[in-house]
Amino acid sequence: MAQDSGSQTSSPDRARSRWAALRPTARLRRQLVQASIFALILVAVIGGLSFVFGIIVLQYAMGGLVVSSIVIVAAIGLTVLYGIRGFANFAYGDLMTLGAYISLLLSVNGLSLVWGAIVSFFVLAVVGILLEVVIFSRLEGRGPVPPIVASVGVGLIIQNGIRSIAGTAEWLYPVPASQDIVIVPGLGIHPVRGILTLVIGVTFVLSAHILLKYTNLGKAMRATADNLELAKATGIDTKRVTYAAWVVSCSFASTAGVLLGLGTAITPTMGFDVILLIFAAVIVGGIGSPYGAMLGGLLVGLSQEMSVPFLVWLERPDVIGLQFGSAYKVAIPFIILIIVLIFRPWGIAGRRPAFARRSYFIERVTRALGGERGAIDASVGEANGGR
Amino acid sequence: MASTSSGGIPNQAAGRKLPWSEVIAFVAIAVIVLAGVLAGVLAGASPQGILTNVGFYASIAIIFAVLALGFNLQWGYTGLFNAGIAGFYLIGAYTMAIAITAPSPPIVIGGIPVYPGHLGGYSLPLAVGAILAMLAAGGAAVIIALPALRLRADYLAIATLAFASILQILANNLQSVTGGAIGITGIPKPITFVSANAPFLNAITIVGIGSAILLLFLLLLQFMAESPWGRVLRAVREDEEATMALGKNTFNYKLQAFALGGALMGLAGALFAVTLGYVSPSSSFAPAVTFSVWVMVIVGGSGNNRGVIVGAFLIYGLEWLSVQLKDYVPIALAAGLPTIRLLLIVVGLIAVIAAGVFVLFSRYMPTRGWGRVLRKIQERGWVRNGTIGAFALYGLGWVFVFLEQYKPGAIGDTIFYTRLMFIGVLLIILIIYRPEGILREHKRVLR
Amino acid sequence: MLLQAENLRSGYGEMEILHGVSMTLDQGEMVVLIGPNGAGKSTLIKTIFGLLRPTEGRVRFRDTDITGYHPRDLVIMGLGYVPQTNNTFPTLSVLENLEMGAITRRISPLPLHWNRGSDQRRTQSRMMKDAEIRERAMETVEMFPNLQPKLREHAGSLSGGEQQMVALAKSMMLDPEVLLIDEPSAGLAPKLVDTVFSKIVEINESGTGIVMVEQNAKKALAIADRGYVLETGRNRFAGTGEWLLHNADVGRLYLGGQA
Ligand SMILES: Nc1ncnc2c1ncn2[C@@H]1O[C@H](COP(=O)(O)OP(=O)(O)OP(=O)(O)O)[C@@H](O)[C@H]1O
Ligand SMILES: [Mg+2]
Repeated sequence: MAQDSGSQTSSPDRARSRWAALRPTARLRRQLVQASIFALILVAVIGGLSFVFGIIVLQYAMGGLVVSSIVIVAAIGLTVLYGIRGFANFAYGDLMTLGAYISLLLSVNGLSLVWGAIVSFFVLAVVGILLEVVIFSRLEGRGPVPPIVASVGVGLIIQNGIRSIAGTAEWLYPVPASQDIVIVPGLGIHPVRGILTLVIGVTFVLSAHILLKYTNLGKAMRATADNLELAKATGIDTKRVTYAAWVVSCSFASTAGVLLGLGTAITPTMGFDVILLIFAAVIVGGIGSPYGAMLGGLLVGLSQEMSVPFLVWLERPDVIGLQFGSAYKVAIPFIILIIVLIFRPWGIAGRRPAFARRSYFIERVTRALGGERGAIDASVGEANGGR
Repeated sequence: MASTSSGGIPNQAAGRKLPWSEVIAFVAIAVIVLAGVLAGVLAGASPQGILTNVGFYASIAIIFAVLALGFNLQWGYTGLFNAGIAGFYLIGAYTMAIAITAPSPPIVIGGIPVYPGHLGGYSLPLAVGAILAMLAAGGAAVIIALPALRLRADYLAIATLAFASILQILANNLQSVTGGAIGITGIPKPITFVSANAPFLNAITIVGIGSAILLLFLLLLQFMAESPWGRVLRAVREDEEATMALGKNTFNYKLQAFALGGALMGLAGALFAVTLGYVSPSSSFAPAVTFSVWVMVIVGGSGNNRGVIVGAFLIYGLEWLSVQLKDYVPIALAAGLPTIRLLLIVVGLIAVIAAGVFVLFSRYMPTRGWGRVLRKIQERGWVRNGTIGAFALYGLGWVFVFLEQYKPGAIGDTIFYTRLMFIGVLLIILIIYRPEGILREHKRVLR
Repeated sequence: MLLQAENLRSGYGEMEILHGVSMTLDQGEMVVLIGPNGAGKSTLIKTIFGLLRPTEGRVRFRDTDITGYHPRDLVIMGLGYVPQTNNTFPTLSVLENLEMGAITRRISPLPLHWNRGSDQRRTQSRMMKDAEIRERAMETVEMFPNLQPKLREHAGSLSGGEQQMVALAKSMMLDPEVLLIDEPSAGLAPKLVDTVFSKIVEINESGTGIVMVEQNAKKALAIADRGYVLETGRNRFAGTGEWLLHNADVGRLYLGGQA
């Protein structure tokens, strides 16, 4: 039957009725509505805040968007690998650092930063494949902990290797200094650290979307993340998909690292310092889900930056006189993380597992009080794309 | 009972054979200590200083052993993977410091606040402080466990890592409680000595108290592991669903084990505060501490209390030695660079020739006498592994030499950082090839 | 003989579940495996399909010894497998699920030969372009009219019966010569069971040999050509569907008393 499918002729209206099935469905429309409501709320909140507190809020929101776009690139990379290999890569931050340093090495030796970033993109892709071949393929099927331990080992090697070679000093990319572009007085954006980062972030999000939604590799990746056994039984070459996941993951890490280095300074711990921010984005969005990672990254990045005016307000002696209030901004993502872990461990965008019919929280409380046996527990992780 | 399917604790009575791996481990620890002493002697330290240093090694190793026991209870027995050991350790240390120090008001010199002061000044007895430290860390463990314990291992790992890093932020910034970046100083010693030998005597006291505590908890944990409670924990680790089906509220068991492990880590922190005499949000509570403890437990064999203690002495010994060498090696290298280079070349030549001869010889190996021994060596893969190891060491030697040549003085830092790289390499190799630990004859699959 | 399993011993890790099980399937035949829970029916199917490696015994497909082949190679050779549970990709749309079913014969538009390699040597069948795969999916879905309006929905959001249909449709994308189906009726309402069975019969009548595990033994035996009864990893009875259905022992032991 498959052999003659191409030569089959079908009458025009029959064909039309067939393809009619491909029009946007209720689900798509629902998603569009949800997305626009989310965007509206976001805009309304930021707008309202800036109306009350002045334009400074917009400045912080802008900063938040920039941070988000870095976090999102990294979170997509992390979550894609999680989906397919089923473990949280604790070396991810250090892979970002590695990418940043490779670009640095090239750009201080005369290559332009753009080429440096491109080369490190590909170098890290190779590093990813090597990691899978040399280390992680040997840990397959042994649960989530051994790969975590090994990834911490990889992270220690990268981080301290960089330390002993490049030293602990801060480095900066040799990019021409430039002024912020002033949009309105009090609201400016840096052409490189701001606009370029945003543009690259959006480009990566779009390419991830195209990869996952429209290419066969992307579909195979999503299928493998859904169900490894079934993917094998379907005939998907899961080995190659795994390599592809490493390539995507590590090359995204490299770019995220370069963007991070552009935004701040390049140090051996720059990546490890943000790994929890990225984990927060990934878990908030629903671990293993790239689209969740985008949403989570946006939420986490925005809330971290936009908490600053609030924390500064807390610093005032007539409020609570908090010392170093803005230093706590990095704790905000963790707080969101903990809240999500308590109430929606499958993430805000993740699918609610079928067993959590009642409110998850109520079920939890019932059980903690010694109630009947539900089905929560370890299965939450599984429902979120783990195995 | 569900745990019957997978063996319980290693049966000491059954292993009549001499536990070679443990003997080797003890020898290795002795060698490490001797090497440290030697480095001290060569660097021209006083005998007193060297002894104090060894005492310091022992006390910190004991502290790490307590940490390792706590982590072993959580992971080895119950399968709860904690990536925030440093956080519980920090809580213990700060609680102890706040509880037992005398009041230390803020210091302002010329209108500039030099020291912000900190919470506390209660001057409580040491034992009370230690108990408070355990309670605080155990309570924190309960709080972090409530949301995360029901989820898969990775969630718990991420949540605990986040927890530890929030605590570091707090320790650094919550000045009115923690004293900020300077931390809390003037923590009283168990016994106040006034002689010139005070540092040494202090170290000895700490070692004495620490070993007593360590022994106590080792026995306690061994006892608990054999009790019905411990059997349920192992059953939870092996198959939580099945244990639940037996009507056990596995969540409570997990919570208890996690809290108790956290309390042990808090105790280690309390010991640490007393040992050092001050606490500050420094690298003592960095994530590297957590990772070191992982290595110790994996080396010792997770689920093997005695093993993890030996692992702690071994791995901390290596770290300690690297610190000793950090001072000595650059001096030695700078002095003897040409000699060392020559030595490396000669050794390299000999090694290559020897390997070549061995390879050729192994082709035509006689089946008797020495040939049999050689064949046996080869069959066990010692030749291959030995060659790889030797070449790695050899390469490292050259790296040092080149580093010294191009960046004089940097070698000390390099040793320091390669120490952490070494931890990383160990983590990877052990988790791939010896997940059951190297101090264990017994085979048990790690989860 | 289309498919032959001979004296298979297999299991999970150290635990042996099958202690020497044999079965055969002829061209265009439908064979049903029945037996109590835990008898090893799923294990047998998984072993045939290369998801478990037998410690002893052979699996032959036509003239080829396929023991220990990777499932992917078996898909390429013309076998299909529908697992007992989790048999669709929940976050993929129905259409994407079907596309995945044909992935082994896809021609990559890029010169990357993403999913080809040595495949072509083992199969005579034609490779398909993306558009042809789409076309084929539309054609396959015509067999399952209730999926028509849901092509763009996530498979995970469909009902159990619909998911079963998706799984069947997915495995029919390549028109396999042998289809291994594990408990297609698990968890379905009785009415849906009949629908699913009629689909399976339809597939069978189009020339596909079918090996089906079923708890619904009576219904299954009624539509099957032959059946095997397994118990604790061993062959217990074998015969035509008719014979098994009316065999007193089988009836007493496995069909719920009255035969
Ligand atoms: N993944 C696994 N790991 C270990 N043991 C397993 C696994 N899957 C099944 N078993 C065991 O193998 C035995 C046979 O299982 P199998 O799934 O083949 O039974 P079945 O005949 O298909 O039963 P059912 O009708 O319930 O589907 C059971 O005792 C089961 O406990
Ligand atoms: Mg079954």
